[in-house]
Amino acid sequence: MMRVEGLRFTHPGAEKATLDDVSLAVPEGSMTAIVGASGSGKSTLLRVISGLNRPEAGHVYVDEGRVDDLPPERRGLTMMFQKPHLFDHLSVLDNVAFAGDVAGVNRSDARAEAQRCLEMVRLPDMGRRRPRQLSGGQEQRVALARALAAKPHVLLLDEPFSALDTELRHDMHALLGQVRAELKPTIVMVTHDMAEAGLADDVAVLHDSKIAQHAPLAALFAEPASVQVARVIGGFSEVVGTCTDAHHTSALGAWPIRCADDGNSASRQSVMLVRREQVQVSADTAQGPIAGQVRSLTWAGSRQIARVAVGDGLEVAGEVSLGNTVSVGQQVTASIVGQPWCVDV
Amino acid sequence: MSRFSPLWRWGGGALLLIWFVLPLLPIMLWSLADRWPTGDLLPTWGLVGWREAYGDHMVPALLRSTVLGLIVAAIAVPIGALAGRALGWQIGGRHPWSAALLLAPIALPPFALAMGLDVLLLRLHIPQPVAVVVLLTVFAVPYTTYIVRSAYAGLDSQIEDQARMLGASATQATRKVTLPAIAPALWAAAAMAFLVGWSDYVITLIIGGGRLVTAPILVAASASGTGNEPLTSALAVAVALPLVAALLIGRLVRR
Repeated sequence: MMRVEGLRFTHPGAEKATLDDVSLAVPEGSMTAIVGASGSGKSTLLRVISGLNRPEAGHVYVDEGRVDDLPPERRGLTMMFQKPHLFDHLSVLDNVAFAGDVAGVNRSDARAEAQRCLEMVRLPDMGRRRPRQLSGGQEQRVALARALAAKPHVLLLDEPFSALDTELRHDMHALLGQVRAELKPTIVMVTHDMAEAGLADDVAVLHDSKIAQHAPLAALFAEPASVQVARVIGGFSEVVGTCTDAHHTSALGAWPIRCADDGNSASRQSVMLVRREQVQVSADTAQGPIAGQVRSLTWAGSRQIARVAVGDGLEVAGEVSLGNTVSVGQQVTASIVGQPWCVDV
Repeated sequence: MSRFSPLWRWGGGALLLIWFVLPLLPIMLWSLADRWPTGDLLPTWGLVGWREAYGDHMVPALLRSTVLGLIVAAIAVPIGALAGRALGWQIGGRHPWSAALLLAPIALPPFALAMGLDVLLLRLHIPQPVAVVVLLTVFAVPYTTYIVRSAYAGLDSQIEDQARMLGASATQATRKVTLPAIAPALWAAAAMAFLVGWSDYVITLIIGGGRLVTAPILVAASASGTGNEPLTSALAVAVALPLVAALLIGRLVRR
């Protein structure tokens, strides 16, 4: 397992701390994804955990042992960066055997282990090649094999698949799943891709230098802790209004909602967070209770997403109902399915 | 595949060969001549120049030049490697004045610099050979720094982080990852620093006070004083040959 407590880190010359009182626990054999806006400190958190950056305060624990005074190479962690960083002067096999080599393992043993790791990432015949002879996807597979050959207690992944095209990324996701099933490593992965975050057991949202929420992805989608968390996850429309007795009143009318403070009957300013899957947009103007005009159309997979202006500068995004065809500028109606989540302002 | 047609490649190669070989051709011929009267197309072949060069302390002078070049390279390359690393990876931020500082020894006229420093070094009672090495190192460091800086600038600094994350100590990361990655630049820097020491005339003459007789000093003394073309040419070829050989060996090693 891996745990950090009260981490604080400020980049040299920066006025504001990049990480401030960050605490996070990743159980043995599980995988946690760290998500956040660009510059929110996701990669910095991994660098502090790994020991490549020293925190001003806080502690890092690996398998219950405090490691913050240890140099990076003695923490039992391995990190994969966005670039594979294969060592060009070594063959693929010697790249994978690098961890064994620096640990003083007998050369033939290190190479045998490296070959096993190459087989695990389905590159058994690539050992004699040079890194520059590999494709981008193969390079990342070798980087993964090399990280696994180090037999880390914790594997840190800093957006390692983000530079790959969609097909290769899916391929690497499947490979990561296979590695998890076989070796059960503890993994912390930084990503900005929510589909990739979905590979993890749970997701920590980094916002304003802190962990804003740490929960399984399904819980984050269902009940984001704040508007900021909802923005990081994406796909929510924010509707400002008043919350009273589990109902939200706004330009959209009054809607039954769920909120963290269900027992509070006092009227208060709040934001209803409506997922686009909860909004059905129809070309039939008599279909839904919310009338508006289509501002823009995009695609999310096979579903068309319409942004609909509903007055007072308010826009909601929703899926165009199956069998409907809408165009920009068209008058439409929208309806909300289920009870949206609501957070206080 | 080359972007140039064979005609351009062969033409370019021939021009380069002429550029480098043509100036050397007369001294190569002279070094193998006993006499070459004006008006004769070819000289009267002989080895008088080489015999006289051998008797004129050519071998000890070549050895001194070699040792001087090696010492300068041995000192200037590590300094250049450290400075190049700091500049190439912008360790400690950008260094806007680094270029001016580094180029200062090259930009100043060597005669003026040598005369000025000679006085200073004499007053400090620094032995002349040591002073020559120190000054030539100062002249070599800009070259080594610039060569190594380019190599570091083209190498992602995260490569060392990656090595650390695979269990390498800081020393292992440098020794097993960074140094092999910049090895070609280190060899180039060493060759450049060696050349500064090997081929220097001004600093060695002024700071060395005429007592440190290296190969270029022998060539210059012969060229300016004796009027003995076979001897001067043999000495000049002896100075140039190791460099050409080093260049060829370097090419072969790279292949």
